[in-house]
Amino acid sequence: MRSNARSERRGGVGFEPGEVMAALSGDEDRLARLIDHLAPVVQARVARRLLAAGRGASAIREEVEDLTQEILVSLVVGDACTLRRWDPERGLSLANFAGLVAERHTISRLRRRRPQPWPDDDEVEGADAGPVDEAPGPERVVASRERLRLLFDELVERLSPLGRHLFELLFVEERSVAEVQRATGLSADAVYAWRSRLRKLTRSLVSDRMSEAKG
Amino acid sequence: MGEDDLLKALGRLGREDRESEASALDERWDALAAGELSAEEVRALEREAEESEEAARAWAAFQPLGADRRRAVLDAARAAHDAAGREEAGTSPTVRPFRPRSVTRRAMRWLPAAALVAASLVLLLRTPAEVAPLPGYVLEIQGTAREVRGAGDATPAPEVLRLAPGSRLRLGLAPEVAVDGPVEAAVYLGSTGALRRLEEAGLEVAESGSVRLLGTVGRDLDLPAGAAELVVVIARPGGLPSAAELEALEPGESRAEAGDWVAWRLPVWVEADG
Repeated sequence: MRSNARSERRGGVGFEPGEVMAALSGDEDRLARLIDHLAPVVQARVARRLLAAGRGASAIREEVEDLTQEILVSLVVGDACTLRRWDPERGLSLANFAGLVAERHTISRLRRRRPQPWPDDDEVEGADAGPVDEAPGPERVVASRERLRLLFDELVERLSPLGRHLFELLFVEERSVAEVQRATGLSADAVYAWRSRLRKLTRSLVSDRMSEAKG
Repeated sequence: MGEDDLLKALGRLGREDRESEASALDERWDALAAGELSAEEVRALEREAEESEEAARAWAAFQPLGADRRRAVLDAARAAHDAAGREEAGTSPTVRPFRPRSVTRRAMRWLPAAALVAASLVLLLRTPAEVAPLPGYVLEIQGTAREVRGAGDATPAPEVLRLAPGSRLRLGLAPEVAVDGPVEAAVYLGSTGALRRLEEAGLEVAESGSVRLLGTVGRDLDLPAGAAELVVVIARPGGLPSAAELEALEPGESRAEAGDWVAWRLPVWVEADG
């Protein structure tokens, strides 16, 4: 989650929740402004993910444009569009909300393009040698950067923007529960519940992968 | 290994990602996409692109989105609003109520709540390019039901489907057009925070892509007395999420989607027997 002076200025100006709802409800002038407002944020998140995935200069332009357009449509078009779930009271700016949706969408698209079984241990630098048929438990996931990357992408893909925000605050920024409460307006119980949900989801993803590896 | 160790390791990875992104692609590139750079700053980035392959890729990726792409989004929104307007005018109905096959002793009726839910749950499902896209779906509910409010709760509770032992529940997910390719569905019961799949529920998936749950509480549907929720999920084959994934979703949301599945959450209240 990016946060700097220029991007904050870019993401924080211009749209109150009421204006967003008006734009989504058919006010075309507002909608055009909203699209102009969100497009750079969405595009930048898409571009960063595709560049990190090693996309070459020849193909990346069209791919960035296609995905950005697709994500903007999912954000603003239709009664069930994603932006209707944006709630600034939860601590996410409009730009950050859209950015997280864009990241999730892009990661999801990248993951679908290539089957990603757990890599073999002997392909993983620094991994402990174990029995060939041993399935990857949590320790082995942590020991393997590649497995950890796959798990990270799967987790991000599964989380809602709010869930991703909580993951970033609790585990990437390592903020205390009190700080997360201040940042999100959630109660302490709700923050603990989120921590528990993130734990459960992560365990579930590892368990699914273990089952696949065994199967 | 402690419970949070895995999450902490994932958090470390997230921090490393941030640091490497910040060092490789500073915020000038975001500003380029937003059209906020001065001509001099743009020229500086262009020079970097001429000298480095990595910067050349970024130069291509961060050029501002074309007006044609923005217009296409606006056109799609306009088309969706026009379609919604036609539906409201009754020229193109999308909500197709199931017709009851029989009338039980406890008369079934449409809930105002159900109508509201149906109206708000028309959606376009996005799927991978290699799989035919699923069309919009409309959720329809029939059952012995009325609105209830949380006991002792000052704020109105969400509209809840009220059931009793012996109640017939009919729930359908109707595609707006026939679905190209197979669809899977599952229904989960949530109570006390955990979800379990209702394997016994008679869930039918038609070739057209329609999904229907039909059952009698206490006979086909083993629902505990009190507050609970039903979670109905549709996906392409092999894409159904696990119960744990569904449990991790935000509470209070009536619909959630991730990847290539979509779930609807329906609060229910089951009266005690007798």
